[in-house]
Amino acid sequence: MKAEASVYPVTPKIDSMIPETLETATFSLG
Amino acid sequence: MGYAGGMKKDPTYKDLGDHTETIQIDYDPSVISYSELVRVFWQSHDATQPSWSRQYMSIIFFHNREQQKIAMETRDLEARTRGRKVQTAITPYKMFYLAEDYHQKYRLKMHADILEEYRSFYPDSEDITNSTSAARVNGYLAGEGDLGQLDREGPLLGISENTISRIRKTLSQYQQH
Repeated sequence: MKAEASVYPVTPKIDSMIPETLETATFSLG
Repeated sequence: MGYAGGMKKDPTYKDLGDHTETIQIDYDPSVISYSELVRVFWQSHDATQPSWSRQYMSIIFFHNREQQKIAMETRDLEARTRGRKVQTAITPYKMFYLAEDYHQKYRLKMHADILEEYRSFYPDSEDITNSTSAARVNGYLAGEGDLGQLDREGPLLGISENTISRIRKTLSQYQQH
C-alpha cells in the first residue's frame, strides 16, 4: 500500500523535541 | 502575545476592554527556570515607572505559589536595587487570550520570504505562533541570543542554509553595536 504524504512534510526538528511537561509563565511588560 | 488581566470576553487589539498586552511563554523547566525568566522580565523594562494606560502595565500573572513567591521576592530586590517603589502588579493568572495573528512573531513577519518558508511546512498560522523554531528565529532577528547559539541550533530550525546565513548577518549587526 502506498504511504500517504504527510500534510507537513519537513517540520523543524526543534519543534518535535519539546517535552510534554512544559510550564507556563505570563507577563505584561508595561 | 495576547491579552490578559481584564474581564472583557474575547478582547481584540481594537477592542481591548480592561485587558493588558501580555506575553505567555511555555517553557521547559529543565532548560530554563522561572527565576531566570523573571530576571529577564525585570531587565526588560523599568518597573518603577507608573503605567499610562491599562493597555500597557507591568504585571506578573503567577500560575502557582512558587511563582508567586519568586515574583514577590524579586520585586522587593528590584525595588532595593533601583531605590524606588516598583509599580508591577503581582496577580493570580486567570485567562489569556491569544492576540490576532498579525501581532505574533513580529520580527519574523517583517521578513516575508522567511515567513513564506515557515508557511511551506506550517500552512496554519497558529502552528507558526506555537513553533519553537519560529520563536527562536523571531528572537534572533530582534538581536537576542548570540551567534554561537544560532550555530548550534541552526540544523534544528528546519529552515534553509541561505535563510540561516541571513539571520546570522542580522544578528551580527546587532552584536556590533
